[in-house]
Amino acid sequence: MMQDLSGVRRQVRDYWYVDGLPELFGGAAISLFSAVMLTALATGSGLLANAALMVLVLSVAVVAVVMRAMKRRVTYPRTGQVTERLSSRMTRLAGIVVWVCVAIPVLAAWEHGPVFRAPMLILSTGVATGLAMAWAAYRRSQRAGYVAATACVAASAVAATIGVAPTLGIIVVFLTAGVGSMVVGAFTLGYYLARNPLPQRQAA
Amino acid sequence: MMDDASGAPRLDRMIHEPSRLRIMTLLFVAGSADFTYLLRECELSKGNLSVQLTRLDEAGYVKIEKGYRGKIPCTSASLTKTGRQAFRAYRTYLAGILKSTEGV
Repeated sequence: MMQDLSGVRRQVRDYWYVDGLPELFGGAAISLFSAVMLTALATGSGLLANAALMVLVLSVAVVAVVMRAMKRRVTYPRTGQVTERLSSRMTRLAGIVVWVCVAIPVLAAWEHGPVFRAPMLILSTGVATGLAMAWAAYRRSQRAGYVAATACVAASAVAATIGVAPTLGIIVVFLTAGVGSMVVGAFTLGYYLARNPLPQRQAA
Repeated sequence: MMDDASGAPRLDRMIHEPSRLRIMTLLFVAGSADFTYLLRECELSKGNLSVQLTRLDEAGYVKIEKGYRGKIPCTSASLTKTGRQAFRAYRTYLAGILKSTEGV
């Protein structure tokens, strides 16, 4: 059992991902956005590009609702529900400051730096996405996550080598990440359902 | 931490009991947990968990909320401020004892 506090903390923190549903639905949303964006680029349709952004915004709300409903039906009856303690205001503020500090130079470089318009941008996006996915796979012990992470890096390398436009290359990376995430989610969900059958309810 | 008549700190037996210590440890880290989760993680029987939660509730360490998830009844528990302080004091007390026995 769990008298190691850091182990318990980690377990509680990662409990949201125990069933693979976030990867499955999050991956579906990213894949849908990428697919619509890819179609917009292929057809040169501004309307589709706007639709892709709408998909991205709407999917956040839809995924949140669907996930809650699915967890109520699938996860909570099997292994229960635990919520993480909210981090302190200072911790949350520090997180926002770090994001802003990272985002501003990246956006500035995107806008003004010629080096970021090169294939290096696609490759760095792929490597960063791959690293993030590999880290998640390591923390959640999802072997399929390493394959998805490798696929992201490989897709970015191929796109960078072929010499596609940065926007197209990044969308290809996102599409690979989305599909990879869905596969990881499906594997995790299957494993979770196999290991945690629904308990028989006692007759009243 | 509890104090005896002389004012010296003493072990909080409400927390020290192994089953309750498991519950308190988990709830100290988590915001709240439902009965099913506690049952699995604390490896207790339904009856034992129910009894221990009631005792912790009576001591003012745990807040129990009963509700429904759809049509299914659902009980969740979380530490109260008193419970959190008591757990910290318990941890400090144990750490003090362990430190005092170093090198013995």
